[in-house]
This record gives sequence, C-alpha cells and structure tokens, in this order.
Amino acid sequence: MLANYFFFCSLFFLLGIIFNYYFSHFWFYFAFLALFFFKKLTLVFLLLLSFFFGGLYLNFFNELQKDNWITIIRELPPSEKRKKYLVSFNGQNYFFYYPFYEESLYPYDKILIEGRFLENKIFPEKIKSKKVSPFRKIYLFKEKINNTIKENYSFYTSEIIKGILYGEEIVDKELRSNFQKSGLSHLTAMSGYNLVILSALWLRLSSFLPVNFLYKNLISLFLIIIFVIFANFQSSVIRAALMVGVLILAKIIGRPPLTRNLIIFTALIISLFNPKALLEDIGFQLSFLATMGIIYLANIFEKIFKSKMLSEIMAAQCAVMPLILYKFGNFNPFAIISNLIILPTVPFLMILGLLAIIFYAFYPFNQLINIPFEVFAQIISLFSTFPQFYLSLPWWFIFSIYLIMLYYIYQNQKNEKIDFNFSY
Amino acid sequence: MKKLILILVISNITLFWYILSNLIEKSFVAFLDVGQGSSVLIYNHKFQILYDAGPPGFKVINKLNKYMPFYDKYIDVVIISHPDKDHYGGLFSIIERYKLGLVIINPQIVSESTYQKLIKKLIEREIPIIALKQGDKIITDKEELYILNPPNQLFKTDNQNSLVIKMIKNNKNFLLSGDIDHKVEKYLIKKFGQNLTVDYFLVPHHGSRYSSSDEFLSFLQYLSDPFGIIQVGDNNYGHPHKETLFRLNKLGISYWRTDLNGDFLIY
Repeated sequence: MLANYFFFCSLFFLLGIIFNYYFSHFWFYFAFLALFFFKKLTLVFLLLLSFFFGGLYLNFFNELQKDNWITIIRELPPSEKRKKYLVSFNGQNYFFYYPFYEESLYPYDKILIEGRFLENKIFPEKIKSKKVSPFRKIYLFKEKINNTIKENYSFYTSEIIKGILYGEEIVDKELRSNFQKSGLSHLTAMSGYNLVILSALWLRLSSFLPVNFLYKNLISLFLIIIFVIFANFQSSVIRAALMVGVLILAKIIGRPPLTRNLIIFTALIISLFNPKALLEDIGFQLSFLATMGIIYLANIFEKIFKSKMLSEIMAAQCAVMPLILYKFGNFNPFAIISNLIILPTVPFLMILGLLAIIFYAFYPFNQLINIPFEVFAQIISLFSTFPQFYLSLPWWFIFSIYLIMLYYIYQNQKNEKIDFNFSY
Repeated sequence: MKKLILILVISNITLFWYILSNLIEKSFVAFLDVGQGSSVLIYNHKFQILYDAGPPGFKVINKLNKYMPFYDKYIDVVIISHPDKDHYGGLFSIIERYKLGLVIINPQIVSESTYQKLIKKLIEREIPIIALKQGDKIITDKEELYILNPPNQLFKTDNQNSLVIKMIKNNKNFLLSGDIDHKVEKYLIKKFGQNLTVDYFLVPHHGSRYSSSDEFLSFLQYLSDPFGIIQVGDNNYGHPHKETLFRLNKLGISYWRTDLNGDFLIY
C-alpha cells in the first residue's frame, strides 16, 4: 500500500514539474486552492500536494542557480577549431568553446570568465577565477589512463576503448557519425549495457575474494559511484547506476522493489538534482524509454521470436523509434540487425580494452589488441552505409503512439506483484 | 573446438598478411588536406618526417591515421616551419597520440603565448628541440633535406623566416616553402639559382598574392616544369588569391588545391 502511495505521489510530483515547465504558473494556484477543500489526508490530497510541490520545486531550482559562475557539466566532441564543453550558467545550458592548447577543464569545475555570449554559445577571452571540482583527483587519474591509451594504441582503437569502457565521447567526426548512423551510438555513449557487463564481471571476480556478502555489495555500490564520476555524469549512466544501485541495496535488505517504483524512483532522484533533466536531456529520455521498452514490451516479441536477446533489442528499438524520428527525423531500420550482430561482441571488446590498459607497456605484443578494434571500426562503417529512412511526424502523432504504449503497459501491469524470486 | 581452431587460423593469416604487406618498403610524400593550414608527411617505412602540423584540431591525426600503419606510434622528426597557428596548432593533438623523436624549429625567438605553451609541453615530454638554419641538412636512407632559409642574418617577420626545405626523394625534387613572401623568393633565386630545380613545390603562403611572384614562378618554370600544390581550406584571408592563380595559369604551371581535390600523394 505504501509502495503505491510512493508511486503515485512521485508521479504527480514529476507531472507537476512537466506542467509548470510547459504552461504558465497560475495553474498552480488552482491546484493550491483545491487543497483547501480537503479536510482529511486522502490520497487525492497528497497527489495534489505533490503536484504543487513539483511545480514549486522547478521555480525554486531556477532561482537557486542564479550566480555568475559557469559550471562545467561535461566535455563534448570538439568542434573543428576548439574544445567544446556543455556548461550551465544561471540555470541554462550553453556550449562553451575553449582553445585546444589550454589546460583542460573537468566536470563540476566552476569558472568566472570574460567573454562573448552568442545565443547558446560562450566564447571565453579570459578566465578570471576558477573553483576546482571536488572530483578532480578522479579526473586526473582518468586523464592518465586516457593518455596511456592514446599514446599506445591507434586512433580508432583508442577512441573505441575509451568509449566502450567509460563512455568518453569519440572525437573523430567520421567514426562518431558511423556509430550514430548504424544505431549503435548507445555503446559508446555508455548505456546501461556496459554497466551491466562491468558489474557482472565484478561479481564474477569478487566471488573469488574472501569477503562477506554485505561488504561485497557495498564495494560494488562504491565502484558504481566512482564509475558514474568516471563517465562524466552522463545521463544514461546515471540512470543505469541508480537502477543497479537500488537493486543492490534491495539485495542487501532482502526486499525487492516493484519495477514501476524502481523506474519512478530513478526519475524522481534525477529530477531532484536537476528538474529540467528529464525534459531537456534527450539522453535521459531515450534511456528511460529503452529501459521501459525492455522491461514491458519485450514479452510481446518473445512470444513471436523465442529469443530473449532479439526480443529485447526489438522492444528497445520500438520504444525509442518514435522519439528519434521526432527529434532527428531519420531512423535506421537495420539498427536491429546491427545491434543483434554487434552486442554479443561487446563484452569481449570490453575485456580486451581492460587488458589493453593493463598491458600497455608490453610493446610489440600489445599492438595485437589493435586488430579486433580496427576490424570493429570497419564493420561499423559498413553498417553505417545501410539505408536510412527519413520521416517528419507531427508531435501529436508521436504523443498518441506513446499513449497507446502506456495504455498497453497499464493493462498488462496493473496487478503487478512483487516477484520474490528476483535475480540480477 | 574445430571452430575455434578455424577462427585462430584465419585470424593468424589475416594478421600476418597485414604485417607483411606493411613491411614491404613503402615510401611517399603526402600533402595532407588539413583545412586552412599546411602539413606534409614524408614517409618511408623506417623514417617519418612531418613538415608542419596543420591547424589546431584532429584533422592531422585523422590523416596520419590514414597514411601510417596502426602499430606505428612514432614520428621521427617534426619540422615546424614557423610559429603560426595554422602550421604548429595540430602538434598539440599529435603529441598526445604519437611519440616524437625530434622537433625542428626556426631560429627566431617568438614570445607568442600559445607557441610558448607548445614549447613548454614539448620540454615536459622530454622531446628534444633544435633550431636549424641555412646550410643545415638532414640525410636519411631515402631522403635528403637541405635547408635553404632562414639565413644567418634573419629577416624581419616570422613568415619570412620560414624554414624552406629542398628535398630529394626517389629522384624527385621537392620544395617546401612555408609562408615566405616575394622578398624571400627573390633572395632564394639570387642565392641558389640553378639549385632551385624542382618537380613539385608547395605554393608559398597558401597562395597569397604577396608570394609566388612572377619572377619566382617564371624562374622555376625556366629551370624545370614544376607542379604546384596549394594547401588551403576555408579562410577569411582570401587564400588562394585570384592573382596567384592567374600567374600560375599564365605560366602554364599546373597545380593541385587540397580544399577542392583532397590529399596529394607522390610515390
């Protein structure tokens, strides 16, 4: 019962944020007025209250962020002449262009600058002062690893290793567009898939270690947090890490959560840290849609195809396709095939990438590791030549598709029970 | 088990084929299309020289990746003709990914801050830097590089002090000219005369109108029938200038533009 209260209150909190984002404020006063008609604490009262607080939180958050410091969020693939960062300034996101030869900045560094503002771009001329981010040591360590990979392996290999292991953006334009065109960019943009593989690897390894159950899980929680910092707080990684983290906690406590509560909890936490993230960050949106697709829609396809992997890929693609079509206007129908071929090889590539980092000093032999990655890059470029289809759809069409999906999920899942035999 | 053996055999064959095909002696000069800027890769399988590194960014890395085998992460010599960003900028990303044996610069002392940063980075990585001038030469198995400019008495501007190199490779003569202007061209003609015989030459200063004077071009044309390469990309300076192209056309010197035609390779 409490779980249901939690679910609906969080849902209305999120709805409040969405509502306040798209419509003007005065709607909220209606919600607030409506509160006076209730004399007892009922569910509807709580729902309205959380709806109201959702809207209030968004406004509050906007006000809170207004100082003149620029906060670095993460590094993006560079433009032709400059490094490019995603930064937030007074509660809004900007692209920050920075010369190649300057010392690099790390996520959550704060800077004060003199420079020019052009629409959503910032061109700095002089950095007046700088607050160093609390995670700097971790980023310096990561920089060291980056440099060893870059120095010892070929261009494509180093890019793919960095992307596949900890979601570093690919700097090469051609390779990046190849990944995007073939519908595989989720591999280098760190989807949950990579995180799941890494945690599975860790669980395998830790089964040999003489530590007890509690410590083992706590260590994996800690590792996940480090990993999120390593991956520059990318949206999909945060989502995956939150979900895996909650599952691990559940395992420690011994009480599994409802799936829908897990999803809404992740969304809630993300919105508490940045209420605009779910609305503006396409990474979060795609990530959530794909996860929900895998969880709820895969069973339809499983009846037809009898293969778990294929049906999961199909479900994720189906859930994601309308939004991709709406945002980018093109979609690669062969993404299903390329995913089916590529995904099974990813665990091996990740292990090879780890080996590449460990054995970087064994000069002539470590160069052998280049070969599978070079072949991988060639295969990806082959996949990217498959035809795409271009469609522009109106927003209400997309919206109704998702409504239908939601209705289907609701029909199927309204009597969801906790499955105590859960495993991950 | 049979499958595994088959996979191993096939991968071995491809591997050895790849390595063997790369060990076959390969030598070429590639004028790279790196946008507005200049970069020439002088390659043989034992020794690589990079004349200028192009503008800041990853275009140079891309090209190097294309023309060098993936296991080769070492460039023996990088020559920076003069301290202009479109000639040394790419070195910032090159030193992150390649090991360099030696960096050659021109003897002029420049206090520009980005150039100083580059020098600092090179020193941090313990890469030796030397300054060469007229009369010095670099001799390798396949190439001979003679430095023609700058002379002992330096010119005034840094463009004029560009390292100008005459290279002989595979019985072909190359002239790598940096950003020199008509004054230096005049000086070169006076000083070297007959020795300026070239088959391929880098058109000075990306085809600016203050370089490639009539006198210089007609002198080259008089000595031999040269072929010009203009390394240029999108820019606001109006490179290559119409007048330069007109002069080239007038003298019947055929040329290659990297912005329109891409990389230019001579084997």
